[in-house]
Amino acid sequence: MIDTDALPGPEWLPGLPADFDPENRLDGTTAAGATFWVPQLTDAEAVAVATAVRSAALAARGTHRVADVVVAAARAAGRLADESDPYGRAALEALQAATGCSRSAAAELLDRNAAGWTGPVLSALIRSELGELAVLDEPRPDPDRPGRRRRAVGPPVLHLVLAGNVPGVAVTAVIRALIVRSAVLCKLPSSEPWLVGLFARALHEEDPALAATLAATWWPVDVPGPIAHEWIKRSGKVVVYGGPDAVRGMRTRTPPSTPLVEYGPRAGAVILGPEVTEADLSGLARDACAYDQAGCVSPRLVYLLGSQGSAGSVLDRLGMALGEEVRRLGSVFTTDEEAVDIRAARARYQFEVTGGARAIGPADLAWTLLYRSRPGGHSEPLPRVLWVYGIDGLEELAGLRGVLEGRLQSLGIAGLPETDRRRAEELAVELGVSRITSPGAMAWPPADWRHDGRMQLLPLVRWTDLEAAKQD
Amino acid sequence: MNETRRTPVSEAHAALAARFEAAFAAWDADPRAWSDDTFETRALEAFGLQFEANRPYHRYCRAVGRTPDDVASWRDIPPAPTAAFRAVELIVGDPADAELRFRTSGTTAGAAARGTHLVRRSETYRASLIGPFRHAVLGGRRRSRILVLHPPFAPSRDSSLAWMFGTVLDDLGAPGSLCIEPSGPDSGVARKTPPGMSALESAAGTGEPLAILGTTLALADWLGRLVAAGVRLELPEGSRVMDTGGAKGRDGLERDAAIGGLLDRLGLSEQAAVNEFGMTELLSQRYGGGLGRQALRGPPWLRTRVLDPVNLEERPEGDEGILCHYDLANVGSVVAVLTEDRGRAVGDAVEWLGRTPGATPRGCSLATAELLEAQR
Repeated sequence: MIDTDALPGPEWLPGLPADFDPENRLDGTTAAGATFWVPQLTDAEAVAVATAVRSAALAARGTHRVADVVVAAARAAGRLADESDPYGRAALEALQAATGCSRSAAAELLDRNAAGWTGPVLSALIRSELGELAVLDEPRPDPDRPGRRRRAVGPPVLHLVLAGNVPGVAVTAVIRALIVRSAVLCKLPSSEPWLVGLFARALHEEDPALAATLAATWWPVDVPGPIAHEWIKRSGKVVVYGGPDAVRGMRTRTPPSTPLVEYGPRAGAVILGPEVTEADLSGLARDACAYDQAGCVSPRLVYLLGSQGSAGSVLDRLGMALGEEVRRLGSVFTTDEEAVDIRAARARYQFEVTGGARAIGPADLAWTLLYRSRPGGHSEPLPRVLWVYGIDGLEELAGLRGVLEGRLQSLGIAGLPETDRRRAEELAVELGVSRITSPGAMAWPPADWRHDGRMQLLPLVRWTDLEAAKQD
Repeated sequence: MNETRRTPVSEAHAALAARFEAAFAAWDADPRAWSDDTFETRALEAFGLQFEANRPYHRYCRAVGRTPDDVASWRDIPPAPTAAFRAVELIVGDPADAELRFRTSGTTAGAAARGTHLVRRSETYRASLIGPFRHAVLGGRRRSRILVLHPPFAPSRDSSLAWMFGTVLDDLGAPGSLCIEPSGPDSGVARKTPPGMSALESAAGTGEPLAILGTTLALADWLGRLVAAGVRLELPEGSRVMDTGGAKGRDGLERDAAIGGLLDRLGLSEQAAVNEFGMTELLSQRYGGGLGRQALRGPPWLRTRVLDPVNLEERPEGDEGILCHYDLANVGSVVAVLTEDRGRAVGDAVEWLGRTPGATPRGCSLATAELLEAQR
């Protein structure tokens, strides 16, 4: 049992007096039932924090080049994945407490995330979307518009509403906001509230002036209170990650004049052809276990193409791969509510008379395969549950357009002949899939992938075109 | 499943059910606890029959790797999740042989996902119902005036609760008993008179105890009618108010306020309140007395285990878990039923703590409801 009282508080609130002593506190519970609390800010305190980070960010634009931001952020974030660093050890503890995952699973999550937090990767992301780093510092020649210069910069204040279902992504989002030179006001997720605060503390040690441009705390989503109001009011742009309730809530609370960038709920899907290999199935098992199927990149829907005679074999092999992955990652966590839902889903399949339904999985619910021999699009985001459907041809997926279109984040493809693969790719584009990849890579998109089909930095910045002064 | 050389299903079920019915009736006459061996033997007999002759349940038991050969205790009988009642008709033998067909209300999963419980012999339900009801609600009396505030049973309405109320009225109701549909034509809505006033006044006048039965919602509404009409009277000692079902999602309704208000209005003490816990998927009931959190007790042919939802291991007394019932009155369907209800064991009783809410989708994983909506 992790002692969460030994962890630093989730909040990071520059701009408050050093002897700040809150009158009240807000108590929260993580996905795995761990408890935490943050100070309940008054209106004045929320405004003081917002004002302080805005001033700090504007000042940092004069003292830091974006290359400095990249270096400091990469160093601070890298410490979260370093077990020899106090922040790395705290991050490991925090992840285990928040999600109920094993230590090895937490370490893998941090390692995988850290691969996207390095200086070279962040610099490459900036170049791929904005052309060069310096365009965030000063006007630079526009390569596509001769005679013109351009400058990109984020709003003075960005408000991030973060999600914790894919641990580590919150830190990634904060780093991107820092890169565009904005002050960052974060609403932390209750499901994993600590990593951003740990990052902020590490950043404070690396570069205090930069850490002063970031604030983060948590409040109950259904009782946003004055802090949400004050922070949204002072933000030039709002970015929301999360489920439909979070996205709908922010649409309601964000003024029409404030741009809202949404990363809403999606599901992942996989098409497995007759030539699927053990490596493909092991990769799929890794993807399914990485975030316990709670991420938009998680492969919840699996389509077995042309497998009417061999579905049983593929299911058995996939089941073995899932069992192996669960053993590798160690203990798994399931809430009581999720357990009840998984058993209900299994029962529906186990008792189903038609449709060639099968429910496969161990008694402790460590993983579950729910199979129907006919095409379908139903799935539920339950931990380590895969909804598997048999299809005779890819066109049957086109028939599920009403269910799948615009709802799929990633599509994994394996074991298909080349012609089928090309058709599957076309179909994925038609369905609005934002990423086509292979099993084993679904859970870990590259740092510069187009999340929800959008760039990562571009939606955050505003461009300024500078034309040459007219010569009389 | 080869039945050619065995006793036909109908005969095997009828014989076992008749023995159980006799045992239920014997308990009614002499309500003593059953020994563990008695319950064990009968439960395993029922499981053996159901494994042999309930086809969907047989497939399920095979799928989870349990047969009568490796089920040595009633605790080992594989429970059918309540979701199974929404997927398939669970009955020993042919569904066409069912005498009664009940449907769940869809409280949890919505009307589109209502479950069905087929009852092969109505007599089994009746036998399991009468004794416990008599002792828990009527103080052991053979007959009592009864006022039911619920629509009467009709096969088309497929309500197990309506059947239960109707059977109680028929078997245990003294002259003057009646069933009134609270919002029906006889309810007095048009006359602004609360329904059942004649039964109330008659009971108060004659001194004969009156048992008032209804859902918590119906009794709460009825209280409103009594208050509006200014009714206040003293029912005779031994009168009872039995509610069932709880608030069922109605915002602001609290059982204690509704039933407590009714007791006050009818001149009854808190001890006159009885809470009935039943499910369409079970033919036996549990009862609790008074207001507040209820310690629900059932007859000896109904046992309940409190389980860890993840690994289905039994939780220690007092710890919260999900309820798994073993009801021998379900001899014609499935004895072991795994619910989605939360509760805890308190001595030989069970506290019901509510339905387990559906899991909240975490973060940016697409919510189920949206996919479901898209499919409709």
